[in-house]
Amino acid sequence: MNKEKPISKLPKPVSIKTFTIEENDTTIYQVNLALDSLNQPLYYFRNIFTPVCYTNKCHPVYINFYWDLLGNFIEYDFPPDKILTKVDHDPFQDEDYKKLLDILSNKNSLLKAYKMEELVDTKSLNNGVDAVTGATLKTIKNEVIDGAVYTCYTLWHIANGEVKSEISKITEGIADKTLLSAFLESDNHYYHYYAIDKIFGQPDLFERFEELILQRLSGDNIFLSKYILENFPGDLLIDAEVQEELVKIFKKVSYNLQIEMLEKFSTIQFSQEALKLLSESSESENFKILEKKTKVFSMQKELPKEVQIYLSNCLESNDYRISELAYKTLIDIQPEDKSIRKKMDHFIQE
Amino acid sequence: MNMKKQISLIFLLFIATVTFGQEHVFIETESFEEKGGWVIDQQSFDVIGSSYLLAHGMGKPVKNASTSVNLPKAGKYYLWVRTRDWAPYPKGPGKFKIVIEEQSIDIVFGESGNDQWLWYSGGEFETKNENVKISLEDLTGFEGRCDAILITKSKKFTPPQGNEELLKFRREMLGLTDAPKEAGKFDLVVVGGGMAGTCAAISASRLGLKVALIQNRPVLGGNNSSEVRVHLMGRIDKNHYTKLGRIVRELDNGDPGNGNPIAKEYGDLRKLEVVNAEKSLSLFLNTHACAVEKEGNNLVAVIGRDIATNQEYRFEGKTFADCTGDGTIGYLAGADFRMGRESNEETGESYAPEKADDFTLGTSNLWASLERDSVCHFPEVPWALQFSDEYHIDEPKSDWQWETGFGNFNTITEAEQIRDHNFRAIYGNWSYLKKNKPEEYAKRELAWVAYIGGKRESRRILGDHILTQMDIEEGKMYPDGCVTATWTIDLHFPNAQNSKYFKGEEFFASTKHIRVKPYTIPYRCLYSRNIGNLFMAGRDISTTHVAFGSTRVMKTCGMMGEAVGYAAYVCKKYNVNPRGVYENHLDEFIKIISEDLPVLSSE
Repeated sequence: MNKEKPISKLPKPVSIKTFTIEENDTTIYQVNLALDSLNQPLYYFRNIFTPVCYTNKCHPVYINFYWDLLGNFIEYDFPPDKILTKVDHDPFQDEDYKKLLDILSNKNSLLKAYKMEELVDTKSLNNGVDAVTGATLKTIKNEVIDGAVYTCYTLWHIANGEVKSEISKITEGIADKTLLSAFLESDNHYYHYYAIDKIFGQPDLFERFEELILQRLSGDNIFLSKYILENFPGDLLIDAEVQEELVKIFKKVSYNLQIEMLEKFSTIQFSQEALKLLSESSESENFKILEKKTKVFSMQKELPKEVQIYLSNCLESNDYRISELAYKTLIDIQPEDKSIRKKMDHFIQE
Repeated sequence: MNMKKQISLIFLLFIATVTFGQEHVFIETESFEEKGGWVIDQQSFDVIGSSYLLAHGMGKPVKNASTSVNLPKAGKYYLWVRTRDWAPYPKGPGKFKIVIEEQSIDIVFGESGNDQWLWYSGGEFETKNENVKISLEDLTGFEGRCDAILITKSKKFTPPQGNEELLKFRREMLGLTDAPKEAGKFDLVVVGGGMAGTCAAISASRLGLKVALIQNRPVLGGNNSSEVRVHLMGRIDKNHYTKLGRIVRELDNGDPGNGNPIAKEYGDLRKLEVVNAEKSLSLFLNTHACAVEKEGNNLVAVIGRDIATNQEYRFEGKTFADCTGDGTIGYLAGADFRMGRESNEETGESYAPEKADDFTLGTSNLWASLERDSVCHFPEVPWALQFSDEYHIDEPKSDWQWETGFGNFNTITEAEQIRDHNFRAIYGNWSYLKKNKPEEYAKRELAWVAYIGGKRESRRILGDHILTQMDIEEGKMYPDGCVTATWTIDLHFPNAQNSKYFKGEEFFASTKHIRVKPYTIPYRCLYSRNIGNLFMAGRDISTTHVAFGSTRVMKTCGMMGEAVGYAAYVCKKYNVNPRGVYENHLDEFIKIISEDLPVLSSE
């Protein structure tokens, strides 16, 4: 049987800064900040000793935990010669170590909601959630390791408890522009949100990070893209250059995000250049897109001619909802161009 | 008007009807002779008045469906196709073509960007034969759907787009204005072939009643069939009246979990065999009950439509059991019903919300993947829900939590949209896993995705008693308590994380199990309070929404069916209605559901 313990894959620190954390009178411990050769922060780690107790039985656990710079649990490993065991002193197997990593990495684990006393550690957990058995067993079965339930519980709370906010505070104190850059360029979505919040909170920072932020907006995390859009500072949206960049991005993102962007656009007074870009249609536009675009157009004080041309092209759509809406919108605009009026007349005759 | 004119007029009308008939040939796709890889979807029947064919290929184009059509003569015709774009984000993947006599018409249907069911022109075609072969050619395997095809000689004619008009048109075209075929006179007509209905039919027929069991799918079992694959929950060994639970046990094929990729684990065949062994039980599969006939407050007959041929049948009965889940028969009959949540002010229940609302538990389309020998690919799905490293569901198969509905969709009128939303969640999430987690998923392939939704909640028909949370918690033993229920009060709600990322379109649920001690469900919850001869069994019985959270599991529902079957026997024996059993013959009913213990004489 394979009994390979996990080993951390994180880079070894060049130097370390140690911090003492006092959660309360009885919970005091040290976390270490790992730094690279340029003195840039990498991650936090803690060499843990903790007893795992239930009723009057305790057994000691020696383990190392690693967190990212915002206190999100990354992974664990062990000091030399230390392992984990289950209730009957059976050592953890390969799959147990893997499962423990999943459990500790799950911020939304049910272990958060339960008290230690509500957990039942039995080798054979019952199926079903009927009257006689407990409600906890089935729901929690997937989220604990049989025979090591209290270990899972204790370790989960160490990994995901107060330490997270404590670590965040420390990082807050050392965060600078270099770190924000590194955050935006990383693969860690927690870092992305943190950096966006910081930069949007200080709009004069925006110019320096504009490219990176717009990259994230058009990136592959739709949830982050929506967040960026939702929180985009109003002051920045007045800028014509920013508007044009946003419309260029609009053309290449997913449909879902396009709808959200159009919602946002309807709150902005656009430059003529940006509106020209917006009125370049594409094959795949459906009725909803047109509906949202016409809302944007209706909020503008002035519209370039390109908008009228775009709408007149929509008159030829196979979808009657598109052609009807385009026609109605053109009526409101009252275009003077003869060829456009001809298209409108042709449409109404059909 | 004189005789000659009358005759001429009649003659002209006759010509007009025949000509009109000759002008159009109307084909419901579900009646195609060869379905190929397409399947019949009847879930929206009550909304659009028809079933349709669905190309359920999970991303792999399915084999053509085809049929031969008799045209009045060779020549030029115009083609119309009824379809919708089910995922217009911006244009959906349900793409298909029509093939006439092996020649594919160069128009792609199903990607119009419009999600309404509409007729689309297929242009014109010319044929040298009177008999032509028409095929549906699926292009993507992603749920393209075609409801009907119309072939007409008239260039100017556009088939009616609106639902009302189209319903009338369909009836004319299919000749449904004629009376339905008589399917028989029965003591008990059970509508719905899930656990509840199947048990009701068996239980009644074993006591000698002539029973009809009407089911709108090709298999029995409902949510426990291989089409939906939800496992049976609820205990049958805690019954106060120990005769209940036996038929459930006969039909129980064991517990394969939810969404097991092996179809036969769910025992479709077992259920069919048990039903077929009953001599006085007539089974009518693929028949959707769509209308009722009443006399005063009593049902006289149910009309059912074959989901493939659209032939209508009339089932006459003395008593009826609504085991449809949706409470369809009750609804059609004008029974008092409730849907959604009552307020705590109204019911006094602590788990009820402050205000009454439309919230119902959701509908699941379970799915499973299997490991293959080599790497396999999954197509791009930009029209599906989008996921990222930040949020996705990292599982190779689903369990009960994959669930859409809640307060966002109506489980009856928007059943199709719910099912389609589940598709978008499943395919979008799967696409993410395939692309971004190759270590675990490169060799995995979607093996099964339910296209029939597993509904949890819709209407509840009201009886002489409405079961409440307090009945359950107090374990009140009413004189007419019959089925013993054991499941927790299990009320789902949108998973918090899922809600964070998909607000208003959640597809993943959480629950909180509230433990109960075994309690009995009163018989008065199993018949309608205002329709004289209507029983209920299943999720549509007379409970509050909170109490439904516990009664809804399928073994419990099966036992309700058993009880209804026995009650129907008492109705027949004494020529009374269901309420009459409670009022005057409760002792006999209780005797039937109790174990007959040997009496030791003291003499």
